[in-house]
Amino acid sequence: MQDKNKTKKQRLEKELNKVKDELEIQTWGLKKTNEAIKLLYKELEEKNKRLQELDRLKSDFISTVSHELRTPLSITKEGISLMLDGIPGAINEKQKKILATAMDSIDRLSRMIGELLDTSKIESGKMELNRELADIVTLIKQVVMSFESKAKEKGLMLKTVSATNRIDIYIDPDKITQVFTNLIANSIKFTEKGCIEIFVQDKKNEVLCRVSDTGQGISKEDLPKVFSKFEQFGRVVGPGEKGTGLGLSITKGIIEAHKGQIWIESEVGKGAKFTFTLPKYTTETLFKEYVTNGIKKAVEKNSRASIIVVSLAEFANLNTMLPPEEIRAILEEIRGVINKSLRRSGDAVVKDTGEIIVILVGCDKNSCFNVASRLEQAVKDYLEKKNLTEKIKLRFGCATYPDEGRSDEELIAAAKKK
Amino acid sequence: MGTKILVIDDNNQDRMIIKRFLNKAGYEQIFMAESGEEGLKKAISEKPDLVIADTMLPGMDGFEVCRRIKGSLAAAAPKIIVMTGTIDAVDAVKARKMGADDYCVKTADGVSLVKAVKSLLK
Repeated sequence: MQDKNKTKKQRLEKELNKVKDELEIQTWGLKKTNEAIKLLYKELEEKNKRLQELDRLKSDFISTVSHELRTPLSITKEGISLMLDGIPGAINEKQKKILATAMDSIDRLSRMIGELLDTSKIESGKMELNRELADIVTLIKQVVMSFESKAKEKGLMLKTVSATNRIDIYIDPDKITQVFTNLIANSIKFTEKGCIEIFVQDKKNEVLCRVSDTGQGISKEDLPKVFSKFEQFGRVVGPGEKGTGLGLSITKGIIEAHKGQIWIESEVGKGAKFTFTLPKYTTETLFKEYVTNGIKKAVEKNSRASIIVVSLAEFANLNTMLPPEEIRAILEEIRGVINKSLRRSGDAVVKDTGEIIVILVGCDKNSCFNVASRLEQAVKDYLEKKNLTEKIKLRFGCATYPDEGRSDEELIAAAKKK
Repeated sequence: MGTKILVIDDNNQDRMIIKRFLNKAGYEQIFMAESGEEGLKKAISEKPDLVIADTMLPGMDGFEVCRRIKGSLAAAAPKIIVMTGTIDAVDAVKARKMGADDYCVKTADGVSLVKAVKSLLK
């Protein structure tokens, strides 16, 4: 009996040891794998860093080269245009023709350099938007007008469709003009007959725009590549029309900088339809964006940033006394007064129906207070001169980063409190 | 008499890189084998102090090479590092069961491999 128990115990011990060994091996395996994964992760991180560095170098290179190319190019251009105007002496028709061709090529080259610069700015996240309240319908009409003769040459119809005459939205008008120019030029290039329609619609939270054509369209395989850099796919164009292949990638970059979206719908032989949205900015978000940018700059320079918020007191009451256009005009003038009183350059001022914000990067609490008093005096003088002191009451408040707030919201709230 | 190391890897470039790392770390006598079979032969003829075997080899894989070396040379068997480009816990356990002394990942800087070599040859 005892022997039997002993054998059983031995057997169990043996089995237990076996399990223990197995467990040890498994633990060892896991430990080794864990170590290896950590190593690989570190290696991947380092490689990633290196790639980012290379990417930055490439962008810097493109940006520097493009800048350096611009100067000799503009001198060449200036020279040719002097000769074309016959200023250094008369030229004959044949010479004129040759020079005109040269001029065309220089224009094309300078557009291409501009596109390279835009691309490097988008890639490095340095594209700055100068947002202002603009009427997008008028903007579209202006772009369309500039393309009318080109469309006529090809026998194409250009039409703008909008339910309203005016849609005001905070955008960078130059950049959005560039977007429409790119899209319409693109449509004209790839459309042989029919029409190009520019559609714009005012929606609740965004403005929707669409440029559609009746051209050759884009195949399903090529659709995902449309917005990529340096892509020139299947669509066959005539000689001399080849571009850099950057236009649509820049277009996408601009729309995304506006926090909008862009997409394309197309089928071969059925034309292409480019649609994009531009979100409507409320005063609050716009203010926040400006303040965030100011804080970002201050952090980069390792300095402070101050904001001054000028708000119209009893704005609601004022609205009943004066028509909105008049209030806007007055605010615009006050903005002008403030801009003039700001001695340093680079200080941003945003206007809206009721508030003006001044961002002072590198300005501490004391100097901010001084600037605010100076602005207040200047605005007071202006209001007195215009006999508006009774109607318009302004409140000035300031706040400094990081002393009184570390985020955009904190700063704006702190400035409004005072 | 210096330390002898046998490297079994079918990838020519990897073999060269590993050799360079080992030379840099002060190990001069490096033998190479391109397949498991060749590795096994050399492990017996050259009597290395350490064998580094890739897991994936044409024909006899690294695990099998490991098992055979340890099995045929018993107490006289060299230390063995099973090395891999694709990390896997199941493989690590398998390597251990086949008698490997260490399981190690191939990295671009070779640091982990050299560290493992040094600690086994102490």
